[in-house]
Amino acid sequence: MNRPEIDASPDALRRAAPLWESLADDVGAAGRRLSGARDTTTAFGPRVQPALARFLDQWEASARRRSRQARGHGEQLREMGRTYTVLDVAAADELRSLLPWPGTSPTLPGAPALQDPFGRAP
Amino acid sequence: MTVTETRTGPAVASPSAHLDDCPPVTVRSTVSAVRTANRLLATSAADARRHSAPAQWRDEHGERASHLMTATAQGIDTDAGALTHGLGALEEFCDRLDVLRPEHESLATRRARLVRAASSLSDPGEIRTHNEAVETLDGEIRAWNRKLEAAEDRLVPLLASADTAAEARDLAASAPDVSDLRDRLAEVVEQGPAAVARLWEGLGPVAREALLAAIPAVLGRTDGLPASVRDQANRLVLGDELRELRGRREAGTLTGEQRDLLERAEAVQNALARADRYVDPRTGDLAGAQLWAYDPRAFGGDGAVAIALGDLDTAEHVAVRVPGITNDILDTPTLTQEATNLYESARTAGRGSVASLFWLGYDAPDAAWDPATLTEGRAEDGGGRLADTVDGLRASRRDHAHLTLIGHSYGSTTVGYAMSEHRPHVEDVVVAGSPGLGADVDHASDLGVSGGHVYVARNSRDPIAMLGDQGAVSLGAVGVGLGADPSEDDFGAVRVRAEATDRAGYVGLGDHGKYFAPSSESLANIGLVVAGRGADVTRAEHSYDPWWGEPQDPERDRTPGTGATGGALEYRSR
Repeated sequence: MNRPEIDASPDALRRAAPLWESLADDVGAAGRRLSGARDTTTAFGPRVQPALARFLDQWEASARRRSRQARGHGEQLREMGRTYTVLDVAAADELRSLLPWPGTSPTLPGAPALQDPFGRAP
Repeated sequence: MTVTETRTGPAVASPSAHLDDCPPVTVRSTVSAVRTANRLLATSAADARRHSAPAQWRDEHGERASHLMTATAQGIDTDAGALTHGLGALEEFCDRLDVLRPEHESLATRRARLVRAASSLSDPGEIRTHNEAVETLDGEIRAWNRKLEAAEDRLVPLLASADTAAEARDLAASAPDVSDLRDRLAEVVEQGPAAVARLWEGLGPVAREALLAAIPAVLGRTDGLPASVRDQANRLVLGDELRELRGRREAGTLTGEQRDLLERAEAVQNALARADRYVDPRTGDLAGAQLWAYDPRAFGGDGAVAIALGDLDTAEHVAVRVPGITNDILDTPTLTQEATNLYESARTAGRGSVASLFWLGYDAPDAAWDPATLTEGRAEDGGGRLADTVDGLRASRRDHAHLTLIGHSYGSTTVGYAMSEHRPHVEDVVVAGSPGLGADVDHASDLGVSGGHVYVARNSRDPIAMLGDQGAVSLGAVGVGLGADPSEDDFGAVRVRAEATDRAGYVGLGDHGKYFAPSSESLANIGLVVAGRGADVTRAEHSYDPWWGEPQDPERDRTPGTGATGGALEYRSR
């Protein structure tokens, strides 16, 4: 396959930023749920609690980190959209890494999902 | 042996105390929060994957490797895989606790009894017997503690094997293939609920959790799956919906249609939250609620919903109540309240465990003036769906529950179609405020249940119950209507008392809605049937159609009484 062509118009950047922001919201919400679960681990008793707390801490921290990163990517795209002029090769590569993969449907969050074999979105 | 040698409380080992402090709902709610987080990660990963490089991309120049959406999708997927692994272990542990908890309660009760008895013992023979009992109990408590420790010893290393990023990457390599599982499920759905139940039974806990995270809406509507699984799945779907719509409301982008959808979702959420706090009148524990079906878009937006009080997977007595005209998903709070009233009544009537489900899984006519109310099309379609529901409930259980099907208003016509055309396995049928069970049902025996197991509750002031054909003057004679009046003597059902103490003077539409009211004759009698005590109902005289005049209802002149349906419903504070 050839090197993918990118659509780096200001409009493409504007459409891509919410994808990252929505991802940041949802993954951040997952982290908060895990944090809530962490507060109730004592109910599992003294032999289970430490292992469960470690388990939840790990994935809460990971979710929060991924959420922060996604939000940062969204902000970066918006910034690039504002200062959009001419791209050198390095800047084009950076932009390419942030945008949706060329050819994937540029659906925004909340758009209808793909159909499943049961005839309805999962 | 002297009294001082008696082993009392402190000498008897206690069952591990922490179970006392963690009622099932606490442990399950922790797991439920983790499951919601896992669902959020699964949907996030799926969203990111839609904008990722295809897996088959030949990454000669490293574009795929450096593509952040692709890497993010993979990263979230990996995290979700670890959570799925942990959830499988946690769910297995909860199942084990469910088995151990009643044993714990029994041991604790026996221990308290022995401790109390010890202080009053003086006879050497009694002391010897007491000490033997203490020894026996001591051994049983130690054995119980070993069982709990074994469950904990299984859980802890499973959690520890999924609590680092490196372990998560290793687990990802051996994760269940969700798309394969999904295909297998789709295949067995075609074969019926028993095949679905067999497939589910054969899946491991991690595979089950992976499916719950990936396709909750599918699991939430699949007949044959355990009710507990449908409940978990539907709660995830409801949570997805509320998050999405509330997010739009906050952003100011909610459309009119979405506002309606949010109203429906919140009606269900509120009813469910209240049902979750309802306390069983016999045990003092939470009865538990299950969201057995949830689809707010079904039937042109009227929605489909079914909520149970009690555990549909284990209850000895299961009631499935089908509501009638005017009901849609916005009526969920009222329907849930009435299901709770019925649960309380059945628990008061009997000694067995109960699950009381209201099932709004068909397109009930919108109003009395809706032409669909006087025709049987909706009931015919609903009857098939209802029969599938009963078959699904049956297939998802290993044991055989006593099942009562209850149809109210047009819901009784739906029950009539389900029973006469599809013959689901049901022990008792109750119809309340019935306008008829369909043109082809003119005798109780047409429903296919044993003689004497069809009951009719009819308030003499209820105008909807007067729509059934009674003699020559009837809707049926002009080609409309919903069939014979089941309260008539020649229909062959057991008529139970169902008058309301505050009934209207002559006729009142309000009386159509009093069959599930607390302390009513009707609710008490329906509760008795649900509890398997149909022989104890208070019987009413049948209505009849004399040759010399208009149809007669002997209940019209009887002074209504009240019924024992339990006390005021108790709800635990949040």
